[in-house]
Amino acid sequence: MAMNMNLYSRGDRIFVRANMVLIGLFTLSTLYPFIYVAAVSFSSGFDARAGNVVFHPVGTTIAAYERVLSERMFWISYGNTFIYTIGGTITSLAFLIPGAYALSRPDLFGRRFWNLLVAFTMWFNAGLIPFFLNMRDLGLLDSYFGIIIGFAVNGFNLILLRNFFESIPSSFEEAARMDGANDFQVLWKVYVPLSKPAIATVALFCMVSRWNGFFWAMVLLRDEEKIPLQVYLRHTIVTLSDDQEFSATLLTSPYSVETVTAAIIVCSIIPVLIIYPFIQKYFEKGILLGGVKE
Amino acid sequence: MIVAGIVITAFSPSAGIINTIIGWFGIEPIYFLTKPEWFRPIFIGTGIWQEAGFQSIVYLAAIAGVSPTLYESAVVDGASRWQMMWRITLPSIMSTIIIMLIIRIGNLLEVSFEMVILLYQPATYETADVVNTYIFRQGLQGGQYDIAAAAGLFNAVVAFVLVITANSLSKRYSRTSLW
Amino acid sequence: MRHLTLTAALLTGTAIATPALADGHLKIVDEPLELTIQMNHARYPRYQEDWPVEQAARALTNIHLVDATVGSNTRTDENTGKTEALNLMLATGEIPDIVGSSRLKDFVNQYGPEGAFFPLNDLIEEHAPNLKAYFESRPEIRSAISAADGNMYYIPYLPDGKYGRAYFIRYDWLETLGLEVPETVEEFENALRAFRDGDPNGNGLKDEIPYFARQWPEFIRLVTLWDGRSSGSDTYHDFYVDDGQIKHPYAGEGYREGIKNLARWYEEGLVDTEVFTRGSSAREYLLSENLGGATHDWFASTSGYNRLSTEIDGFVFKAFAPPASVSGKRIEEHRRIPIKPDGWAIGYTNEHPVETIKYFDFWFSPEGRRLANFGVEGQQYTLEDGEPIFTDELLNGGPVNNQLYAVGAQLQARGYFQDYEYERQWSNKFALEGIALYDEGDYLIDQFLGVAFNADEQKVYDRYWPSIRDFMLERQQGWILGNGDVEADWDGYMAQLDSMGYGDVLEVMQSAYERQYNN
Repeated sequence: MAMNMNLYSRGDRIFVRANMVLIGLFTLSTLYPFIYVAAVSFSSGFDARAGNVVFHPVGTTIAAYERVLSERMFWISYGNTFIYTIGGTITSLAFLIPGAYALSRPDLFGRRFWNLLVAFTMWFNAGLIPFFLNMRDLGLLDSYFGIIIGFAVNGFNLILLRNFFESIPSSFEEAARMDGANDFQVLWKVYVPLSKPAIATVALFCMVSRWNGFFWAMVLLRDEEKIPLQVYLRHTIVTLSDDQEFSATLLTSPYSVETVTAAIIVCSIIPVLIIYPFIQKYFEKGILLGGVKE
Repeated sequence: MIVAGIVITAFSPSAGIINTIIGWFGIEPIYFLTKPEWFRPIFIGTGIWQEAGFQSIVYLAAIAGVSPTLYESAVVDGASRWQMMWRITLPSIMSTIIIMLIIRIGNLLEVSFEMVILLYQPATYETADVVNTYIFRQGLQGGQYDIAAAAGLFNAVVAFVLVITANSLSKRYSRTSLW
Repeated sequence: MRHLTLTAALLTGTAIATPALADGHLKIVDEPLELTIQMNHARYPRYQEDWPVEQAARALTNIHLVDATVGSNTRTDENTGKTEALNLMLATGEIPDIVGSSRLKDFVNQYGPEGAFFPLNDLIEEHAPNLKAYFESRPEIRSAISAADGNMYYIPYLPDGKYGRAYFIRYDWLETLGLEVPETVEEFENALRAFRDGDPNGNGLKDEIPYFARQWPEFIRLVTLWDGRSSGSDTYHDFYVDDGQIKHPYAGEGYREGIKNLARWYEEGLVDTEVFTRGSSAREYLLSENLGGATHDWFASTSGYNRLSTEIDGFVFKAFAPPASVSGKRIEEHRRIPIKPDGWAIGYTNEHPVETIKYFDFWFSPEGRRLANFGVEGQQYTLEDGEPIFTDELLNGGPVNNQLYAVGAQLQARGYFQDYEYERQWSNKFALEGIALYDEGDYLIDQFLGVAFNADEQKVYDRYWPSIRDFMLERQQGWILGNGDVEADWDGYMAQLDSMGYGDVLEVMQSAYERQYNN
């Protein structure tokens, strides 16, 4: 960083400050939904429903958390979400990295065709029922493995990673080839270390989509013991809104569907907040530079 | 859903922050969400606000992959920050930008359906309706899956034609392509 | 092949019929018989065999329901009516013996005539005395659930209790301002105006919102005060029947007059400016902030807000009788729907259709109905003078319906006839008071129960109706918001409806209606 300071002329400094103010304001505004959700989760059910919450909790209570954390299904589905997220991300990377490498090779047989095929899946899919039947016939219904393997490869991530691989100067690979490296060694020793930011990005996308994914889990799982957190969240919303519609106790209950939903969301965001800094370090600059020096 | 709620509150004529701010300039409160001419700016603004974080991670990763030596030699040549951005950063991440653009073009028809449903009103149908919401209302009675399925396929075909076009243009002018 | 199996099953089924119910006890079979069931409802991911109600039904009938639900974690979307789980079930090709679901009607009425479900008419006629008696007493229900081929394919959940929404007003505000409870539309308008101007909440600010609604169509519903209509059923914007003729409310003279006046109310600030977007929080917010004056909403839940009297001095928010319209008519347009599209049906591979219909019939017997409504005797209720009375433990143990759902009672993906008594026992006293008021005046009007189209009619309806409806709503909201004048635009509006095929839609509605209800 010290060296970088020399890069700045006076005009640059103004430019950078203006940038920081703008980005800061924008970040604050995008942070707002989270602040709002957190505030709602600690508010009384009535105030949350009435829309009295803006920045801070109104009628502060932890009733929503008590309700959420005391449910057995919350913990089970939370655990399941970890299994799907960790298992899914590792599996995805195991397929995506070699896949993207292969697709990035100019000498791959039928390269255009394979890439077209991958792109095709981004817009065309068989739809719910054929996919369900397919999974059923493969015996992958109602299993952790089915959910993890069935959604391991996603066209967008594959193309993104391929694009990053393609942007790596060929001189790096040529040097490795001179030393007699085969494709696996080239991938592992050259491409993977040089693409850390890209792999981190793709890993992050996989994690987030696993973490938030609910639709297929809903369709493919029968056993409630295997559902992820997001499915549980939806169940809770449905049940509680129904209660609220009919129940005469809605005015006295310390929580409401809004506060319980917010509490579950807050609980589900915490691991993401913990993990992100670890991923972020891969976004630091100078990786290619390091490559040159080695 | 939460975002839609925040948007509705923000644009509310009585308590919304937007109307409070324009109130300082002596402008009467506007019931934005029932005004057809306001729907698009609100919807687009919301979309950018909502997705900027996610999208910027991709560019962040791309920028992180740019070799610092390029910047160092630029400094030696006396380039300003602004020039470095234009001459080094942008060209270096251009292929990522183009790939993202092509993919976004393919998703033109996939505008956030739920968001429209949550934000629109009969009064704003004329500017708010997208293919999917229109289909949604068409099929409302009795769950017409055939219509929904046909519309889905149609959307996919249109999207793919757009992608093919964008891709071949990109290949011609920038040598970046999806396949 | 499918039809062959179906006929074969019917024949075998008829052959082993036994007159169990006629003997006065409820055993349907001597040896326990297991039937598989698919059950989808927002509340129940699947059928739970350990529900006390299921256990009691087993003991009484010897029929054991066994869960075989496909897609149990997909919930039927109550808003869009999407029945993902039912489609999955159909796709697997294995339809369980019994299929129970919310939003079942359209599904069985489409696939039933194609052979996926048993037609129930003959089975009911021969084996189900309770169901038969019920349908004989309520022929319009039978007509309403029938498919276009004239057959019934499911036994519905039949809600009980007539009253749904009612007019509510701040009685204490009226008193503060020296006003009587409004009896006519003029008096109602005056009361709202007084709410706006007279500072009934006494905070010195002109911040009162005279009329508000959680759902904006409840604002449009006020056109009934000018002899218009807003809907013929508990679905918004639905058709209605006027003297045997199907009509749409948004093409009537009274509607024009009503919209003209509602636009004026809106402009004058008698109605919440944000009525179109305030949404479900309107009631909580406006009542708890002491801002809202009147609304049209559900009896039970709205009455519950009188608890606010502990926080707002003198707070009384009670139902009042529908104000007389300009022509002096007093009607309450909304009522509870007597029949739901939820219920259960018999899958075509069921080898025991007769036992199954007897089982369905069991739930319409006095014992079965009590079980479905109140739960298990000695657990959820006790019998006093032959009447089921909920235990204090249940009444004081949180939301009553929740506790009943938990034991498998009030299961709305089961075909049963609800008993209003179940709800009365835990209703708020203000709600009961309001209901008595509405009962006295007999303000309810007949409902349109829907029609089953044949394929040609469906085609016409699907082709024209959605765009007409969009156009109607677009204009409606435009007029209210001051975008155009209903009087000036009316002729053009009607001409536009005609050119969009409104006449054709009415024609197919009418022909379907006559086929279904006039024979």
